[in-house]
Amino acid sequence: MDISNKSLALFLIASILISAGGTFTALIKLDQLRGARILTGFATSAPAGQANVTVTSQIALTAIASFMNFGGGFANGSTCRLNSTDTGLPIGNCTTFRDSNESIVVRNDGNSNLSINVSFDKTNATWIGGSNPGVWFDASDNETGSCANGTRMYGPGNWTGLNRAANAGYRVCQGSSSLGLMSFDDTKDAINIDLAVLIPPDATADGASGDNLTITITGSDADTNLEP
Amino acid sequence: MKQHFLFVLCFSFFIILNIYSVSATSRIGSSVPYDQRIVTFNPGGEASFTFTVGDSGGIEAYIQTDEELTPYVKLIDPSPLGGTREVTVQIKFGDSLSPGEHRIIFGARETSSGGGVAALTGVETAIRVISLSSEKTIRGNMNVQDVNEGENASLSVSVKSWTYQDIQSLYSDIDVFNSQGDKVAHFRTEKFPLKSGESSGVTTLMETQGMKPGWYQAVANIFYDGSNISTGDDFKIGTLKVDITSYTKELRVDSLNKFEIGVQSNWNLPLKDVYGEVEWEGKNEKTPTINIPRFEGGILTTYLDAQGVPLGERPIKITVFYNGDKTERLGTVKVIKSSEVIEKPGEVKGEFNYMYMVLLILILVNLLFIILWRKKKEKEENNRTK
Repeated sequence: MDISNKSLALFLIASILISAGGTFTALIKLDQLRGARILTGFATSAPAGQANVTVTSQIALTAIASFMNFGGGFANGSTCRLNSTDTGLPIGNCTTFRDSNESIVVRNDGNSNLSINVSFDKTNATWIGGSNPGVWFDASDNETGSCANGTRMYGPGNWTGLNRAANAGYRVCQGSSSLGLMSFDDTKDAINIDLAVLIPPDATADGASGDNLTITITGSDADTNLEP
Repeated sequence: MKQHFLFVLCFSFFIILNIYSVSATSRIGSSVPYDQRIVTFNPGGEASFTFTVGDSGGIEAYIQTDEELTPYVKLIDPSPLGGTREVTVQIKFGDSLSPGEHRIIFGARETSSGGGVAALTGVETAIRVISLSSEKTIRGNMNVQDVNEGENASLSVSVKSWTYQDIQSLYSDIDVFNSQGDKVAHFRTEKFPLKSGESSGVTTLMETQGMKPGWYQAVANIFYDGSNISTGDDFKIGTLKVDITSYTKELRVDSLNKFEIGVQSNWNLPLKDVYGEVEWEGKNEKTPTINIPRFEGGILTTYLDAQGVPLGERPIKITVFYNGDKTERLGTVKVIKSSEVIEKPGEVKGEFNYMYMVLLILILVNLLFIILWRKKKEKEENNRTK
């Protein structure tokens, strides 16, 4: 459908009128807030100010990328190998499944350095099943220096098998007890958690749990999550 | 076959959940920082701490204590799983508490991941409860910082009194073991007294000349007025060496391929301007420089041209340069046909569009169903009124 120049001009004028009217109305409404007892940005007077600042301790952790998507599928006759990052297992033998190519990324949004503990609600056997299943995880800096003092970080090339019981924690970016905390500095406050998965051909679906895996990442300013 | 179909069905379900679930921030705020959050036990005494919890709904507040403290501690949460709120930990002591430091862990965590392969976050802090003993009791801690070969290592032992009594004489025997468990050094510290409730410490220097790089363990046996306790710490002796831990193993023929070299520093200081050089098919390719933090790893990246290179295993030489030194590795890379490379998921944009299409169709079917159902209901009501 073609629109004539005249119609376009009318639309433009209408848009300008609506925009100007909206601005005018907003300003009138803002002035009406002068006596209102609610928090606004409207300055009602300009006395000499006195500011009290209380710096509080904030411990905050956000999973800014919280999912891995391996799609759906099955092992194609031999053992299927999947990765959420290309530094893990060599991929292959999977039908329909795909590499996730999506790390879980956790960011320290508080003002304290945190010790970080990662736990999984399932083991190799209970998540994947079948004969000799394998699941490895890898924690690494998303921003260089996020775990600046970590001397035993589970880093690239240092994949760690889920060989502990379900929900038992693994302490990442951690050296001796007082070192290896995750920084809160905005330029280096994020780490990646990656998975490599080995699905044997006889693995079966778990209809009850939906083959879910929950990875819990806990940050502490009080060293509450020591390695078992 | 049925099992395989179920497996496909289950994992396929993840995709929908993955698109629509959003993670929250687990947050605890407090006007009292952790190192000042200390309560000293006194029979019948009371204390309370208030925390701000959560940024959004679905954040659960919880406490964990040792068995002895449990009856004395209560969590007061005005709106469990609510939005941002103030939660109070109330402590009402009983008549006794075993000597030492007890902790009340206070945490906030997400409660639902939405399914699939998903992450939940949680945060924790603690309230320290100190109880002194009438018996002579101390706690000890050992700390040894990592060093480089040839440097002196500081073996620090700190002690704290957890008793109403003064300790007259205290000293430590320190043994150092290598990673094979062999004792490689022994030291005895000077004797000193320790007053009730006070802390003290002593540091011994150990020369590492002649000790091999790697992990070591220091164990301190602390003797005080006829009793003893032990504590220890691990430390690492670094060496100026960067290992090549991994490199790209497969390259596509007739393409310019990204080539990555994984490196690991064994040095206890940051390494600046580390770079790599790759000799392959008569060409030399250099990587840009990177900085590697102490004892950490890094990735060096360059690009290799496989134009006209025969298929199969081809020899390669990788050299990594750092701090005037270098590490070399000889190996092979496999040159494969382009079609052998499995497509990366990041390139499969169509899959998400497909999912949106499926969802749109589902919504339309739902709407159609509702319209038909309402029409049917109206018809039934009309029939009834007739």
